[in-house]
Parts: sequence; structure tokens; C-alpha cells
Amino acid sequence: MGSGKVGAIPGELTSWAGWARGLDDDLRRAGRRVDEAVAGLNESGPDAGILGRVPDLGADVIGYAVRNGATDTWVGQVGEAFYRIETRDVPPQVLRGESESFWHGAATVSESDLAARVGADPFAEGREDGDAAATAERLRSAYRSGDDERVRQIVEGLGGHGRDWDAAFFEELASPFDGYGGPELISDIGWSLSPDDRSLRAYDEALGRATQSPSWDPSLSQRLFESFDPTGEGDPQARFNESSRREAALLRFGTYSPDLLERAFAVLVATPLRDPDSLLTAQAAGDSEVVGQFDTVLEALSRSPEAAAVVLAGSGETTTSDADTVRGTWARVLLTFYGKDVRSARALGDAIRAAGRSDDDALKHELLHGIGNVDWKIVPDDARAGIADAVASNVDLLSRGAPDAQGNEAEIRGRAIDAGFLGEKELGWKQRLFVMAELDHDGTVDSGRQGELTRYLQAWVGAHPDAKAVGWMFGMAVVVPQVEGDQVRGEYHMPTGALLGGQAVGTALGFVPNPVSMLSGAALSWGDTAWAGVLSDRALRKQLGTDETELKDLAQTKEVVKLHYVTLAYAGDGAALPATMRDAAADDPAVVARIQALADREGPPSGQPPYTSRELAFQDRLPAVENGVNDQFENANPRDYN
Amino acid sequence: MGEPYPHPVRFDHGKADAAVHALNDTIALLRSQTNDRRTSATRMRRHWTGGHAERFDCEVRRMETDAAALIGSLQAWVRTITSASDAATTLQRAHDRANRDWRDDRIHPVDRPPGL
Repeated sequence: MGSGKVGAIPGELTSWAGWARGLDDDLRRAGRRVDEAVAGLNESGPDAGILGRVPDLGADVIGYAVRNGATDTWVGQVGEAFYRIETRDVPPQVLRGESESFWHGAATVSESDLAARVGADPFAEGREDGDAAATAERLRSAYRSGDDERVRQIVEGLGGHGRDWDAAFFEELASPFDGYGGPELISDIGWSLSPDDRSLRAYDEALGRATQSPSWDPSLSQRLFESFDPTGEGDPQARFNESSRREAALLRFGTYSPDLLERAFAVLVATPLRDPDSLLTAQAAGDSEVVGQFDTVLEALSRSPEAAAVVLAGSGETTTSDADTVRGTWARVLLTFYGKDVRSARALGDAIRAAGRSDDDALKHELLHGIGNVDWKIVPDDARAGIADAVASNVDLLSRGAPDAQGNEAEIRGRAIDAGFLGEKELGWKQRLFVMAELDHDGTVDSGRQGELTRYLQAWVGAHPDAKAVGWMFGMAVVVPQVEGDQVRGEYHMPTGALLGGQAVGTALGFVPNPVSMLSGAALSWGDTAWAGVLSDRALRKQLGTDETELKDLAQTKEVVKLHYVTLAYAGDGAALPATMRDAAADDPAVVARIQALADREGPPSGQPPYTSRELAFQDRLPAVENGVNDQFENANPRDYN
Repeated sequence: MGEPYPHPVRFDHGKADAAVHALNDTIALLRSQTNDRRTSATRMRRHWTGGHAERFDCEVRRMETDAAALIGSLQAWVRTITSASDAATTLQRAHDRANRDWRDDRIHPVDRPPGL
């Protein structure tokens, strides 16, 4: 493409586009009529010695028309570009009255400007679209003729094309001509393939790729899943089952765009569950066919994290078999609705797992908040693996408060309320998440899920510098196992849990576990750094007899890492702190490195010695501390220090 | 033993005619569209210059070439179906004649030459 001047009359090019696309449509209709007539002839079963099967001659005609259509559209775009470039410096008030003369007058523009606006070569794409349309027409014709073998051959050959080819294929299949075809043809063909997983997989996967093409028409996502009309002829329940099974067959295997899945969920799951007067409310819970279609939608969501997050965090509502109305996120509504239906619960858990891997933190927070508001004892056990995975994947998100309207985190007190650490009688929603992740509905500890969650926490701790968040998360994660006969049951016993959480903090941070570190960690696991400091200060003053000056010094240690820093010093030998740490942990290079990193980052203000010798010389009094802080902790009530 | 060709030749002349009719309509449409495109393209190209216009020329030529190939293919099938239709008619006539002969033999066996 040169850089000189080029010319055209813009209106001639745009008129060509409109006129020629009309020719293309005429030709497509003619192609369909050829295939109709040829199909009629083939179906009449001519003597094979006289005439063999006539191929779908119309398919090639349609492919030709679609390919020409790409060129014709491109011509219109070139005309539009000529006009835009020619008039870009014309004041709007002038253009308003003169636009016709610009459309129908000669325009001369820079070829490079033109190429910048109509840069892509449309011809390769047109060739691909034409091929896809011809294939779609062959499939339509084969399906219409009831030629199952040819349908299978065409469908199983769908792999290996790009998303745009797939989009052109399904859009051709959905284009109605003379009342023949349309979106329902796509679901009809899918339904006809449903007894054969291999063919249906090829078909669904192609549809999934098509929906993710930039050239996919979003309105087709809407039209593929038609809202059910209960006023039609026949038994509405039976008709709903029929139509939803047919549509759900499209979702069995592929990975679809969020807009298609949102629509499918709305039509196949949300609408029948939401409408209190619907035929599918209370009885739906016991209708395995309907629930089976719900599963198909949820399983499709489980392959599309972004869509799963949008759908499951969205507002839902249903009426249970006890005539109770449940409102909240769809995750919450479905967890309540499903009860203990095994297959459904697993499908729902998988969808929650996928949603937990979305990139959208706000949606995930909404989702997890909704799940955390479900009574953990009614959550079906088969959904819990998915929930545990979603919790584990979002430890970092859960360690933060809910963002406010400006996207800022809530105050730490808000986080503590979320966690249920402020002495409320009920568990906080985040606590419930951990409880339902680690326990079955009867309180039995699921060691696999618990272990998995702990491994995630450990990995997160390794990459996470915020010690107070570490303490807080461990405090929530610790469910105290209790052996009852042959069973291990779990219970969230806050003081014990928090103490163990504190111990976990110390361990996770590379410190030597001791009662002081456990105490401060436990306080951290209540979610409040200041309390951690106060508790430690008071415990230390009581047990160590420190005076106000020392307390003032210690007050500087209220930043969590510093607090642990001092804590570790109590267990050291009284020498200069970093050296002490290194000596104390000399056997473990990883711990040495960790301590050094903390010392470098959390050292005292510039120009001051790291810490006073008094702070560092408590080793001989440590046994007293150990005995004392345990008592102190057991009797501590955070509100006393508020 | 019944008549030698008790069933009619399987060939639906109505369906064959419909197919030929649809094919001929499409051939005519392709021809007229090709001519119309050529005429309009020539008119449009009087004012349209530059690289995009030259690429358009290539596309118009490609459309003509493809249309000619399609027309050729459709015409071949028109001939095939028409020939098949003729062949079916001819065959049916032969069968009808044979059936008629068979029936005549049963009605006038004495006319048959001795020894046959």
C-alpha cells in the first residue's frame, strides 16, 4: 500500500455494499432452495443404477455468497473511511448541512490514512467464512434429511478450525431463510447428537469456541436460550423439561463465553427457581430431570471461572420445599436449595471452585460472603471440596476487609466482625467458610480438605509479608479436632483455636514457638494488632514486673513483626538482637534468612540501638513467663482491653 | 412367476424436475449477478483509485472465476439429473414393454412358435 493520494466517491462504495449484500442474500436463498429440492430428490430414493446421491450443491452457492459478503462489507468500510477522512476537519455545523455533498462528491485522501482505518485484509477471513457457511449448510441439509451418519461425519470434522470459523459456522446455521433454520436448529442438532458423547463433544466444543470469537453475535447467545412460555399448549412442566433438556445439551462439553452462560443460567435455572408462581419451584427440588439440567448448566459454569463468578455472585431467590423464601447470592440460594443431592452438590461445588479462580476480586468477595452466610451444617458435603478450594484460592482476599465504595479496605475492626472474633455468639461469615471447608455437616473433620487448606495457607504465608493477616487467617483456619470414639470431630473453640493460631503464626514466621509468641499470635488471630500489643504488654508487665519505661519501649513494638521480634528476643541469649536471632536459629539457614529479612525491614528507628539489653535479657525469666501467660491468656477477654 | 417388472422404476420425475428447476434458477441468478457486479464495479472504479481499488479488482475477478466454476458444476448436475430422468423414462418403457409381452404370452400362448 503506497503513501500517495487515492480517490473515490464514498457514497458509491457504501451503496455498492448495500446493493451487493442484497445480491448475497438472494444467492443464499437460492442455495437453500437448491438444497431443499436436492434433498427432496435424494429422499425420494432414486434407483441407484440411474442416479446416485446428489450432493448438497446449494452449500457451495451459500459459501460463495458468504465469501462475497465479506468483500462487499469491506467495500462499504472503505467508502466510510473515505468519508471520515475527507470530513475530519470540517466543522460539525458545516457538515450537518453538507454531508450529502461529501458522500456523493469525489474524496481524495492519503492512502496511508485509508490503510490505517481499513487495515485488515478481509479476503482471507471471507474465504474462511465462506467455507464455514458451506459446511453449516451441509450439516443443515444432512440433519434435515435425517442422514445421521453424514451429520456425525460433519460434526466430528468441526475440530481444527479457529474461533472465527466456528462463529461463522454457527451463525450460518442460525440464519433463518424462508422460515427454515434459526437458532433452534442449533439446539435441535445438539439434541439429536446427545446419545453420542463423541459427536456432541465435538459440536459443543465448537460452539464454545464460537462464543468466544470477537465476531460472535452476542444476540445469538440470547436467542439460543429462549425464555420458557408456560402459556403454550400441553403440559407446561413436560414442555419445560423437553425444551430445557434440548437447550442444556448445548452445554455438556464446551467452554462458553460468560454472556452465553449467564443467559443459559437465567433461562434454565434462575427463572424457574425465582418465580414463586412458577411450575418449577417447590416440586423442582424433587424432579431429577430438572435438577439434571441444572447440573449441566453448573458443570458448564465450572469450566468458565469468570462466568461462574458473575452468575454465582449474582442475586438469586427461591422457595424451598418448606415454603421458605431464600434470598442472597445464587451460590447461597443453590446451596440451600440443593440440600444433600449428591450429584447436584458436586456440580455446584465445582462451579464454586471455578468462581473462586476468577480474576474479579469484588465478585469473589461477594460470592464467598454469600456462601459464608449459609448455615454450615446444611451445606451438602459434596459441595465442600469446591468451597474449600475457593477458600484456599482466596486466602489473601479473605485476609483483607471488604472494599468500600472507593475500593479501600474496611477498618480492621470490620474485618474482625466478619471473622466473628469480637465475642459474638455466632460464627462470623469468614469463620463459617473455614468451618464448612474443613468439616462435614455432622462436624466430622475431613482431613484431606483440612490438609489442603493448611498447605495453601502455608504457601500463602511464605509469600505474604503481612504478619497480622497471617495471624488472623490462621486463627480462623484452626478447627480444634476432638476424638469421639472412632470419629474425629471438629469444633471451633475460640480461645484454643486462637492460641493454636498464634502458635501457627510463630511457626509460620520462623520463630521458636513459646508461650509469648503464642499469646501475641493468638491476639493477632483475633484480628487486632493493638490488642496483641496490649495483651502482650500486660502479660509481660504482670509476669516480668516491667516498669512504665519498659512498657513505653515495648509500645513501639505494637507493629506485629516487631512484637514477634521482641518475642523471639525473650527466648534469645540477651546479645544484640540480630546476632541473637542468628545464634538461636543457627541450625536452620532458612530461619536465619527469614529473621534477617525481618530485621532489615523492621528495625528500630534510625540512630537507636536495636533494642535495649533489658528487652533482650529475659531468658532467665522465661519459665515464669511461660507459666504466667497461659493463665493470662485463658482468662483474657479482648473487650477488657478495648 | 409374475410379470418380470412388477414394481415401477424408482425415480420421482417431479422431484427431479424441481431440482433441475432450482438449479437452473440459481445458474441464471449467478449469471445475472456476475454481469451486474461487473457493470457496477466498472462504474465505481472510474472514481476509485489506489491500492484498495486494485485489491477490489482482484476480488471481482475472483468472484467471476468462482461463479463460472459454480455455474459449470451446477450445469453438470442439471445434465446428470436430466439424463437420469430420461434414462428412468426409457427404462420404465422397456419394463412396461416386457411386462406387456409377458401378459400377452399368458393370454395367447398358442401364438408362440413351437419349440419356444
